[in-house]
Amino acid sequence: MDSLTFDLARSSLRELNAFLHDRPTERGVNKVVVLHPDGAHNIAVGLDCPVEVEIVGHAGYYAGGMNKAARITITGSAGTGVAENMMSGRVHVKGFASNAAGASMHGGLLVIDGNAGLRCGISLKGGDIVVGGSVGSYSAFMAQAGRMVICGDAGDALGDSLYEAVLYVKGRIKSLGADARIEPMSDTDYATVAELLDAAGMRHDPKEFKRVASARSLYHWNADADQEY
Amino acid sequence: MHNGSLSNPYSVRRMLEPHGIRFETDNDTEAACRFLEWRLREGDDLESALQKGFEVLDGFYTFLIGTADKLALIRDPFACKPAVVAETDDYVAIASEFRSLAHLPDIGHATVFEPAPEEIYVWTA
Repeated sequence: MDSLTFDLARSSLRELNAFLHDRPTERGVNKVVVLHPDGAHNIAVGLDCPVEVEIVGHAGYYAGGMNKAARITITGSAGTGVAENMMSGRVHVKGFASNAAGASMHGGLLVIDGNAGLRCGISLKGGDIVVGGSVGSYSAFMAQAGRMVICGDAGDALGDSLYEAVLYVKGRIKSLGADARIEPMSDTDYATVAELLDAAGMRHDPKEFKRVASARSLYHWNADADQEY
Repeated sequence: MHNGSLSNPYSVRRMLEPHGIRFETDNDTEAACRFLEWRLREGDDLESALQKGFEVLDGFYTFLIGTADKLALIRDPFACKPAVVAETDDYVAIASEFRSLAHLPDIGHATVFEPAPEEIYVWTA
Protein backbone atom coordinates (compact mmCIF):
# COMPACT_ATOMS: atom_id res chain seq x y z
CA MET A 1 0.00 0.00 0.00
CA ASP A 2 1.81 3.07 -1.22
CA SER A 3 -1.01 5.58 -1.17
CA LEU A 4 -4.05 6.03 1.04
CA THR A 5 -7.12 8.25 0.69
CA PHE A 6 -8.92 9.95 3.58
CA ASP A 7 -12.32 11.40 2.80
CA LEU A 8 -13.06 14.03 5.44
CA ALA A 9 -16.74 13.75 4.56
CA ARG A 10 -16.51 10.25 6.14
CA SER A 11 -13.50 10.30 8.48
CA SER A 12 -12.80 12.82 11.20
CA LEU A 13 -9.93 15.27 10.99
CA ARG A 14 -8.55 13.80 14.20
CA GLU A 15 -8.36 10.34 12.61
CA LEU A 16 -6.49 11.82 9.66
CA ASN A 17 -3.99 13.76 11.78
CA ALA A 18 -3.47 10.81 14.16
CA PHE A 19 -2.69 8.62 11.16
CA LEU A 20 -0.27 11.19 9.75
CA HIS A 21 1.47 11.55 13.15
CA ASP A 22 1.96 7.82 13.42
CA ARG A 23 4.89 7.80 10.97
CA PRO A 24 3.00 6.37 7.99
CA THR A 25 6.12 6.12 5.82
CA GLU A 26 7.55 3.52 8.21
CA ARG A 27 4.47 1.43 7.46
CA GLY A 28 4.79 1.77 3.72
CA VAL A 29 2.35 4.64 3.14
CA ASN A 30 4.22 7.33 1.24
CA LYS A 31 1.27 9.39 0.07
CA VAL A 32 -2.01 10.41 1.66
CA VAL A 33 -4.77 12.06 -0.38
CA VAL A 34 -7.31 14.12 1.55
CA LEU A 35 -10.71 14.55 -0.07
CA HIS A 36 -13.43 17.02 0.96
CA PRO A 37 -11.26 19.18 3.22
CA ASP A 38 -14.09 21.75 2.96
CA GLY A 39 -12.17 24.44 4.81
CA ALA A 40 -11.46 22.37 7.93
CA HIS A 41 -8.81 23.86 10.22
CA ASN A 42 -5.51 22.25 11.21
CA ILE A 43 -5.29 19.73 8.38
CA ALA A 44 -1.93 17.91 8.35
CA VAL A 45 -0.38 19.96 11.17
CA GLY A 46 2.74 18.89 13.03
CA LEU A 47 3.84 16.18 10.59
CA ASP A 48 7.31 14.84 11.26
CA CYS A 49 7.96 12.23 8.60
CA PRO A 50 8.59 12.69 4.88
CA VAL A 51 5.10 11.71 3.75
CA GLU A 52 3.43 13.33 0.77
CA VAL A 53 -0.02 14.80 1.47
CA GLU A 54 -2.36 16.06 -1.22
CA ILE A 55 -5.34 18.06 0.03
CA VAL A 56 -7.88 18.20 -2.78
CA GLY A 57 -9.90 21.38 -2.29
CA HIS A 58 -9.85 24.35 0.07
CA ALA A 59 -8.14 24.11 3.47
CA GLY A 60 -9.01 26.14 6.58
CA TYR A 61 -6.66 27.74 9.11
CA TYR A 62 -3.12 26.52 9.85
CA ALA A 63 -2.94 23.82 7.18
CA GLY A 64 0.51 22.25 7.24
CA GLY A 65 1.42 24.23 10.34
CA MET A 66 4.57 23.20 12.22
CA ASN A 67 5.42 20.91 9.33
CA LYS A 68 8.65 18.94 9.54
CA ALA A 69 9.74 16.93 6.50
CA ALA A 70 6.34 16.36 4.88
CA ARG A 71 5.48 17.55 1.38
CA ILE A 72 1.98 18.98 1.46
CA THR A 73 0.00 20.21 -1.54
CA ILE A 74 -3.31 22.06 -1.31
CA THR A 75 -5.04 22.14 -4.68
CA GLY A 76 -7.43 24.94 -3.65
CA SER A 77 -6.96 27.89 -1.34
CA ALA A 78 -5.62 27.99 2.21
CA GLY A 79 -6.99 29.90 5.18
CA THR A 80 -5.11 31.96 7.73
CA GLY A 81 -1.68 30.79 8.85
CA VAL A 82 -0.89 28.15 6.25
CA ALA A 83 2.47 26.51 7.02
CA GLU A 84 2.90 28.70 10.08
CA ASN A 85 5.96 27.72 12.07
CA MET A 86 7.07 25.22 9.42
CA MET A 87 10.46 23.72 10.34
CA SER A 88 11.30 21.87 7.13
CA GLY A 89 9.62 20.18 4.20
CA ARG A 90 7.38 21.85 1.68
CA VAL A 91 3.87 23.27 1.53
CA HIS A 92 2.42 24.18 -1.87
CA VAL A 93 -0.85 26.11 -2.19
CA LYS A 94 -2.14 26.08 -5.74
CA GLY A 95 -4.84 28.70 -5.09
CA PHE A 96 -4.62 31.79 -2.91
CA ALA A 97 -3.57 31.96 0.73
CA SER A 98 -5.20 34.09 3.39
CA ASN A 99 -3.45 36.20 6.04
CA ALA A 100 -0.24 35.29 7.85
CA ALA A 101 0.90 32.63 5.39
CA GLY A 102 4.19 31.16 6.55
CA ALA A 103 4.12 33.15 9.78
CA SER A 104 7.11 32.44 11.99
CA MET A 105 8.48 29.78 9.62
CA HIS A 106 11.89 28.40 10.60
CA GLY A 107 12.67 26.35 7.51
CA GLY A 108 11.32 24.55 4.49
CA LEU A 109 9.68 25.98 1.40
CA LEU A 110 6.21 27.52 1.14
CA VAL A 111 4.96 28.01 -2.41
CA ILE A 112 1.75 29.94 -3.10
CA ASP A 113 0.74 30.01 -6.75
CA GLY A 114 -1.92 32.70 -6.28
CA ASN A 115 -1.99 35.79 -4.07
CA ALA A 116 -1.19 35.83 -0.37
CA GLY A 117 -3.11 38.00 2.09
CA LEU A 118 -1.74 40.42 4.64
CA ARG A 119 1.24 39.71 6.89
CA CYS A 120 2.67 36.96 4.68
CA GLY A 121 5.96 35.79 6.20
CA ILE A 122 5.48 37.79 9.38
CA SER A 123 8.31 37.06 11.83
CA LEU A 124 9.97 34.72 9.34
CA LYS A 125 12.84 32.97 11.10
CA GLY A 126 14.19 30.92 8.22
CA GLY A 127 13.13 28.97 5.18
CA ASP A 128 11.80 30.29 1.91
CA ILE A 129 8.47 31.62 0.68
CA VAL A 130 7.70 32.00 -3.03
CA VAL A 131 4.46 33.75 -3.97
CA GLY A 132 3.35 33.62 -7.61
CA GLY A 133 0.90 36.49 -7.14
CA SER A 134 0.91 39.51 -4.87
CA VAL A 135 1.23 39.84 -1.11
CA GLY A 136 -0.85 42.07 1.17
CA SER A 137 0.28 44.78 3.55
CA TYR A 138 2.74 44.23 6.43
CA SER A 139 4.32 41.22 4.76
CA ALA A 140 7.67 40.10 6.18
CA PHE A 141 7.06 42.27 9.26
CA MET A 142 10.00 41.72 11.64
CA ALA A 143 11.31 38.89 9.46
CA GLN A 144 14.53 37.69 11.04
CA ALA A 145 15.98 35.21 8.56
CA GLY A 146 14.99 33.40 5.39
CA ARG A 147 14.05 34.55 1.92
CA MET A 148 10.87 35.62 0.18
CA VAL A 149 10.27 35.87 -3.56
CA ILE A 150 7.19 37.83 -4.59
CA CYS A 151 6.37 37.62 -8.28
CA GLY A 152 3.49 40.11 -8.13
CA ASP A 153 3.10 43.31 -6.13
CA ALA A 154 3.53 44.04 -2.42
CA GLY A 155 1.13 46.07 -0.28
CA ASP A 156 1.92 48.71 2.33
CA ALA A 157 4.82 48.54 4.80
CA LEU A 158 6.69 45.68 3.17
CA GLY A 159 9.47 44.42 5.43
CA ASP A 160 8.70 46.73 8.33
CA SER A 161 11.35 46.39 11.06
CA LEU A 162 13.14 43.78 8.98
CA TYR A 163 16.11 41.94 10.50
CA GLU A 164 18.18 39.68 8.23
CA ALA A 165 15.54 38.16 5.96
CA VAL A 166 15.86 39.20 2.32
CA LEU A 167 12.90 39.88 0.04
CA TYR A 168 12.83 39.84 -3.75
CA VAL A 169 9.93 41.59 -5.47
CA LYS A 170 9.15 41.64 -9.17
CA GLY A 171 6.12 43.94 -9.16
CA ARG A 172 5.24 47.24 -7.57
CA ILE A 173 5.86 47.87 -3.87
CA LYS A 174 3.11 50.11 -2.52
CA SER A 175 5.31 51.21 0.37
CA LEU A 176 8.28 49.96 2.34
CA GLY A 177 8.09 49.62 6.10
CA ALA A 178 10.41 51.28 8.61
CA ASP A 179 14.05 50.34 8.06
CA ALA A 180 13.38 48.36 4.85
CA ARG A 181 15.20 49.57 1.77
CA ILE A 182 15.74 48.57 -1.83
CA GLU A 183 19.31 47.42 -2.44
CA PRO A 184 21.22 46.55 -5.59
CA MET A 185 20.98 42.96 -6.84
CA SER A 186 24.26 41.03 -6.82
CA ASP A 187 25.06 37.93 -8.84
CA THR A 188 24.35 35.91 -5.69
CA ASP A 189 20.90 37.51 -5.48
CA TYR A 190 20.10 36.65 -9.11
CA ALA A 191 21.22 33.07 -8.45
CA THR A 192 19.08 32.91 -5.30
CA VAL A 193 15.98 34.13 -7.13
CA ALA A 194 16.60 31.68 -9.98
CA GLU A 195 17.05 28.82 -7.51
CA LEU A 196 13.87 29.63 -5.58
CA LEU A 197 11.77 30.16 -8.72
CA ASP A 198 13.03 26.84 -10.01
CA ALA A 199 12.18 25.11 -6.71
CA ALA A 200 8.69 26.62 -6.89
CA GLY A 201 8.22 25.70 -10.54
CA MET A 202 7.68 29.30 -11.61
CA ARG A 203 9.09 30.98 -14.68
CA HIS A 204 10.20 34.59 -14.33
CA ASP A 205 13.35 36.44 -15.27
CA PRO A 206 15.43 36.98 -12.09
CA LYS A 207 16.71 40.21 -13.67
CA GLU A 208 13.28 41.74 -13.10
CA PHE A 209 13.39 41.38 -9.31
CA LYS A 210 14.37 44.00 -6.74
CA ARG A 211 16.10 43.20 -3.47
CA VAL A 212 14.62 44.53 -0.23
CA ALA A 213 16.64 44.19 2.95
CA SER A 214 17.16 45.91 6.27
CA ALA A 215 18.98 49.23 6.49
CA ARG A 216 19.82 48.10 10.06
CA SER A 217 19.16 51.56 11.46
CA LEU A 218 16.85 50.09 14.10
CA TYR A 219 19.52 47.73 15.41
CA HIS A 220 20.85 50.27 17.88
CA TRP A 221 18.94 52.77 19.92
CA ASN A 222 19.34 56.30 18.66
CA ALA A 223 18.07 58.92 21.10
CA ASP A 224 18.39 61.65 18.45
CA ALA A 225 15.98 59.87 16.10
CA ASP A 226 13.10 60.88 18.40
CA GLN A 227 11.18 57.73 17.41
CA GLU A 228 11.22 58.81 13.75
CA TYR A 229 12.62 56.14 11.44
CA MET B 1 -23.96 42.95 9.34
CA HIS B 2 -20.74 43.59 11.23
CA ASN B 3 -17.94 41.39 12.41
CA GLY B 4 -15.51 43.43 14.49
CA SER B 5 -15.47 46.34 16.86
CA LEU B 6 -15.18 50.05 16.16
CA SER B 7 -12.95 52.20 18.32
CA ASN B 8 -14.73 55.49 17.66
CA PRO B 9 -18.50 54.83 17.70
CA TYR B 10 -19.19 57.62 20.20
CA SER B 11 -17.37 60.29 18.24
CA VAL B 12 -19.25 59.17 15.12
CA ARG B 13 -22.47 59.42 17.09
CA ARG B 14 -21.61 62.88 18.45
CA MET B 15 -20.88 63.99 14.89
CA LEU B 16 -24.18 62.58 13.54
CA GLU B 17 -26.68 63.63 16.22
CA PRO B 18 -26.52 67.35 15.38
CA HIS B 19 -27.53 66.34 11.83
CA GLY B 20 -30.76 64.89 13.21
CA ILE B 21 -29.66 61.25 13.04
CA ARG B 22 -31.27 59.34 15.91
CA PHE B 23 -29.85 56.26 17.65
CA GLU B 24 -31.74 53.38 19.23
CA THR B 25 -28.80 51.63 20.92
CA ASP B 26 -25.23 52.24 22.13
CA ASN B 27 -23.97 49.61 19.72
CA ASP B 28 -20.90 50.38 17.58
CA THR B 29 -22.49 48.68 14.58
CA GLU B 30 -25.37 51.13 14.73
CA ALA B 31 -22.88 54.02 14.56
CA ALA B 32 -21.61 52.64 11.25
CA CYS B 33 -25.14 52.07 9.95
CA ARG B 34 -26.25 55.56 10.94
CA PHE B 35 -23.17 57.05 9.33
CA LEU B 36 -24.06 55.36 6.03
CA GLU B 37 -27.72 56.35 6.48
CA TRP B 38 -26.60 59.97 6.84
CA ARG B 39 -24.35 59.86 3.77
CA LEU B 40 -27.07 58.25 1.66
CA ARG B 41 -29.56 60.85 2.91
CA GLU B 42 -27.12 63.57 1.87
CA GLY B 43 -27.16 62.21 -1.66
CA ASP B 44 -24.12 59.92 -1.80
CA ASP B 45 -24.47 56.67 -3.66
CA LEU B 46 -23.56 53.56 -1.68
CA GLU B 47 -20.02 53.39 -3.05
CA SER B 48 -19.23 57.02 -2.15
CA ALA B 49 -20.78 56.58 1.28
CA LEU B 50 -18.56 53.54 1.91
CA GLN B 51 -15.50 55.39 0.64
CA LYS B 52 -16.19 58.13 3.21
CA GLY B 53 -16.71 55.37 5.76
CA PHE B 54 -13.08 54.29 5.30
CA GLU B 55 -12.03 57.78 6.42
CA VAL B 56 -14.42 58.11 9.37
CA LEU B 57 -14.91 54.63 10.84
CA ASP B 58 -11.97 53.46 12.91
CA GLY B 59 -11.43 49.96 14.25
CA PHE B 60 -11.89 46.41 13.06
CA TYR B 61 -14.66 45.49 10.71
CA THR B 62 -15.93 43.34 7.96
CA PHE B 63 -19.22 44.97 6.95
CA LEU B 64 -21.93 43.50 4.79
CA ILE B 65 -24.40 46.20 3.81
CA GLY B 66 -27.70 45.71 2.02
CA THR B 67 -29.83 48.42 0.39
CA ALA B 68 -32.99 47.99 -1.67
CA ASP B 69 -31.01 46.97 -4.75
CA LYS B 70 -27.38 46.49 -3.72
CA LEU B 71 -25.23 44.31 -1.53
CA ALA B 72 -21.82 45.66 -0.49
CA LEU B 73 -18.87 44.15 1.33
CA ILE B 74 -15.90 46.00 2.86
CA ARG B 75 -13.04 45.15 5.22
CA ASP B 76 -10.87 47.39 7.37
CA PRO B 77 -7.31 48.25 6.21
CA PHE B 78 -5.77 45.56 8.41
CA ALA B 79 -8.21 42.82 7.29
CA CYS B 80 -8.57 41.97 10.96
CA LYS B 81 -11.78 40.06 10.49
CA PRO B 82 -12.01 37.24 8.00
CA ALA B 83 -14.18 37.07 4.90
CA VAL B 84 -14.44 34.82 1.90
CA VAL B 85 -16.71 35.07 -1.14
CA ALA B 86 -18.01 32.39 -3.50
CA GLU B 87 -19.64 33.50 -6.73
CA THR B 88 -21.50 31.46 -9.33
CA ASP B 89 -23.93 32.52 -12.06
CA ASP B 90 -26.74 31.80 -9.59
CA TYR B 91 -25.56 33.24 -6.29
CA VAL B 92 -23.07 35.22 -4.27
CA ALA B 93 -22.26 33.68 -0.90
CA ILE B 94 -20.24 35.47 1.78
CA ALA B 95 -18.95 34.00 5.03
CA SER B 96 -16.07 34.31 7.44
CA GLU B 97 -14.62 31.00 6.33
CA PHE B 98 -14.89 28.60 3.43
CA ARG B 99 -16.12 26.00 5.92
CA SER B 100 -19.54 27.65 5.85
CA LEU B 101 -19.67 27.69 2.05
CA ALA B 102 -18.40 24.18 1.42
CA HIS B 103 -21.82 22.57 1.16
CA LEU B 104 -23.46 25.08 -1.17
CA PRO B 105 -24.71 23.78 -4.51
CA ASP B 106 -22.16 23.86 -7.32
CA ILE B 107 -19.50 25.23 -4.95
CA GLY B 108 -16.90 23.22 -6.83
CA HIS B 109 -17.37 25.54 -9.80
CA ALA B 110 -17.70 28.77 -7.84
CA THR B 111 -15.13 31.53 -8.06
CA VAL B 112 -13.80 31.71 -4.51
CA PHE B 113 -11.82 34.74 -3.39
CA GLU B 114 -10.83 36.66 -0.32
CA PRO B 115 -11.93 40.31 -0.45
CA ALA B 116 -9.02 42.73 -0.13
CA PRO B 117 -8.89 45.30 2.67
CA GLU B 118 -10.26 48.78 1.93
CA GLU B 119 -11.79 47.64 -1.35
CA ILE B 120 -15.49 48.10 -2.07
CA TYR B 121 -17.29 45.06 -3.46
CA VAL B 122 -20.82 45.74 -4.70
CA TRP B 123 -23.38 43.39 -6.23
CA THR B 124 -26.47 44.93 -7.82
CA ALA B 125 -29.81 43.13 -7.96
